[in-house]
Amino acid sequence: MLLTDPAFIRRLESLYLLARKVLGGTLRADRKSTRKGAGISFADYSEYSIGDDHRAIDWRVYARLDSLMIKLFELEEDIIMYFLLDSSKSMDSKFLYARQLVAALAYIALHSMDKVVIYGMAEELIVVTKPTLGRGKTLGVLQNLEVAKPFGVGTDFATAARQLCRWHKKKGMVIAVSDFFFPGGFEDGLKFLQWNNHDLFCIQVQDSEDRKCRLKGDVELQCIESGELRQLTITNSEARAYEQAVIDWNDRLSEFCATQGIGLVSTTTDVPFDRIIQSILRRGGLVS
Amino acid sequence: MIFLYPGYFLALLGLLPLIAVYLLKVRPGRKPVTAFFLWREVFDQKKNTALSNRLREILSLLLMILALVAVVLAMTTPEIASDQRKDLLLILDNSASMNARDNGRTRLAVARKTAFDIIRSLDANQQAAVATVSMDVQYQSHFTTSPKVLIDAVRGIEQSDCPFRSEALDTLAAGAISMDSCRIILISDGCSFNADANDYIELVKVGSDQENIGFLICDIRMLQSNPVKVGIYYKLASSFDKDIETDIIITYGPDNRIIKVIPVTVRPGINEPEVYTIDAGGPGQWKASLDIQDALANDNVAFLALQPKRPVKIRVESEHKFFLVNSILAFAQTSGELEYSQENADVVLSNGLIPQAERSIIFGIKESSGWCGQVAKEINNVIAKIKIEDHPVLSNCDIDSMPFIGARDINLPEDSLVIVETSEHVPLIYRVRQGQRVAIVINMDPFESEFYYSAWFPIVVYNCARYLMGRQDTIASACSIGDSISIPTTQYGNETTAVTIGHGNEPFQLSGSSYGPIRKAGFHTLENSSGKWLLGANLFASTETLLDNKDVIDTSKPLNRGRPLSATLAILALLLLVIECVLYHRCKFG
Repeated sequence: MLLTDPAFIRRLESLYLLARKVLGGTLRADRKSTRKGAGISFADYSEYSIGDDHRAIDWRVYARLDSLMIKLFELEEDIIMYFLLDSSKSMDSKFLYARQLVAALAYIALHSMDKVVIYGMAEELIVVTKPTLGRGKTLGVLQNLEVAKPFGVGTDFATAARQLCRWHKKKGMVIAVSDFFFPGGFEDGLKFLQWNNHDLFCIQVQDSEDRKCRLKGDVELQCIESGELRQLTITNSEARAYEQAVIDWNDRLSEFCATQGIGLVSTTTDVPFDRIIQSILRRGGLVS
Repeated sequence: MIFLYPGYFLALLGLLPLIAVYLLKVRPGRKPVTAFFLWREVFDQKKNTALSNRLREILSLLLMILALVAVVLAMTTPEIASDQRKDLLLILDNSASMNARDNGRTRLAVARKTAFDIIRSLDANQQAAVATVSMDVQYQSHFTTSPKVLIDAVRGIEQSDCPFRSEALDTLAAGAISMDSCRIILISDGCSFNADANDYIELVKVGSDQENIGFLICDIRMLQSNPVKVGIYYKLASSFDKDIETDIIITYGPDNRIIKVIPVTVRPGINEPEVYTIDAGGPGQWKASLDIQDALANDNVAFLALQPKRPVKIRVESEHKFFLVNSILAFAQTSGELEYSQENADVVLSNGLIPQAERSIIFGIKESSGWCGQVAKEINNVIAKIKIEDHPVLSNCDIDSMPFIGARDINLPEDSLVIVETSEHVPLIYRVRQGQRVAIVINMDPFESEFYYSAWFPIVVYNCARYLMGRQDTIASACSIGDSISIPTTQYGNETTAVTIGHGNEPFQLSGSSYGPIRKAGFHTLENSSGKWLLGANLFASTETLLDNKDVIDTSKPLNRGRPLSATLAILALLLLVIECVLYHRCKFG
């Protein structure tokens, strides 16, 4: 299915309507800024100090208490959503599914007036969509996603994370969509992003072939990314060992995210993407 | 080793494409995987995979080469021995000595296995027959190419109680078997086999020299009836190389009541006979058993039948009875085999009268009757001539010294059997029958000839009385297997006798006056109109007991045995292919 197909866009619209109903139209429902500043919603009082805006002084309080107090309002700031779309070769079979997920989340974000940036991620980051804001840019974003292709030999998540932080000083919501089969591990990259005050949400996309070994007998295994070859006779014990290794790897990701307060959704390509988005929305958005 | 079809070696050329295919190395299918780094953990657990894969490829090639070579060799039909593939007559010795145990198995079982091995090695065109030999040769199967028939025949061979008689094999030399196209294989322990006289027979020797003790002779006799005294005579043989002390257990009756235990020391070889007296028991079944566990059990028991005294009761019909009665009393008082009885007599002894009894001994015929036809004048200068030699009536008698004075010219009646006659064919002693009645007529006047004073007179009476009662041959208490015995009968060969072997077995009917040769050890019961008789049959053969086959040489020429080599090679090829299939399956399907 094309990402710019009207039928697909109608499915995205449905998801956005669900987002409005459930989360008030924004993916960051629980993520209102804790900083105080100019806004319209009263938040708190604070003692006046030199340099504060005189317009914020509450004179009624001064008349009653004889001290200068200023009104604080919730700071309303637009959030940037950074999408890291794993575009390595290992995502070949899952790339469409991953792009559908990114498209859905980006659609909701754009309609919620959030800024969206989408990067393709392999050994480095490649821009898929530059920082974009507003509903009018939705079709362009979808077109960019539609033409995106896997690239690179391997995935270096830590390097990609550093690259993102170098390019974007402003903190935001980083959404990594990947199978998380990173030979160098995922911990360094995620920690680095957290250290740079980004909120993180991981969507792990795998297919059934990743989790279940259906190979038997003599095979020559080839790494889809590096092209490395290795001959092996796969019996039931080898198949079980591989499947256990995948389970252990996924458990490692789950435990890491849970301990670090990172949101995580794991899915396979068998599950329709909109069901995953609905699940995220019903859980309260992109939260841990 | 020879190959019947060496042309099939050309099939080894098939190795070339086989090796070529393997050298091309069909690589396994390439499978791209996303989580290759996770597979590395599996590789680490199987570090030797590459080496084992390479070895497996070599092993696979080796297995296929071996399988092909095995198949080709099987097609060439190799044979280790230069067997000429003649037809075979397999003769299995099933004599008593083949029941001896060698290493827990009887020699017959070993012989059967040897026969099976030979039968399995027969090729499709080779015929064979199976026979057994002990006292005589008995065919168990005809000549056939069917191994099943032959194996069934071998399986059906039963152990015989009979001793081996080498002469039985002589019938083969005179038989219709062509030695040019047939080999005669005797599978035997070789005890008493005469290899020199039977050089056309190849002996396949089974069994080795074994230690055994057994009875060679055993007999029992009533020494005194009141009080009872029984004499036992026995002779033992031993193949042990030292003296053995054991016991002979004497039992009596069907319930085997122990009467006596006789300690004996058995020396190596054939021992001197011994006699032992027992003050118990009576007529009937006796057993003498050696209390020893040795190689052969058949000769450890002697079956003895002590015959009861059955005197022939004789009545005298004569004007002058004195000498006639005394002739009876002579045997009544000594052996007790005759009894003078005026009532319930079995036989009537008459002189000058015509008795009406069923069985009669008639002297001094003077007038015509059914026993003698027309009686004419007295004849003189009688010269007696024996017509039937060895007739029981003449046993222990000197006919030449018998004075046939007073003999008359007699017209012989019908159904008569002349035993002694004159040179003019006047019957002097003859047997005559009238329906169920029978008489021995002695054509002389014992008074006139003073034959009463002759020592032969009571003997003639005794012989005639025993003959008329059918007891001319006494049944021994023990006989050897292979013996034939005369059945006591009053019907002179026209009687049917029921024979029962052992206890509880169904009797079989036997016609004629002879029973034998006896083939089964144990007690045999004979029953007919003249009475019931017990007989003990025993092995009693030194060649069987001594089990001596030390010097017997296996004279068999090269002979294929066991499963044909080609079949073994085919099985090997199949096994190799199965292993290769397992490897292939592992390669393809893990």
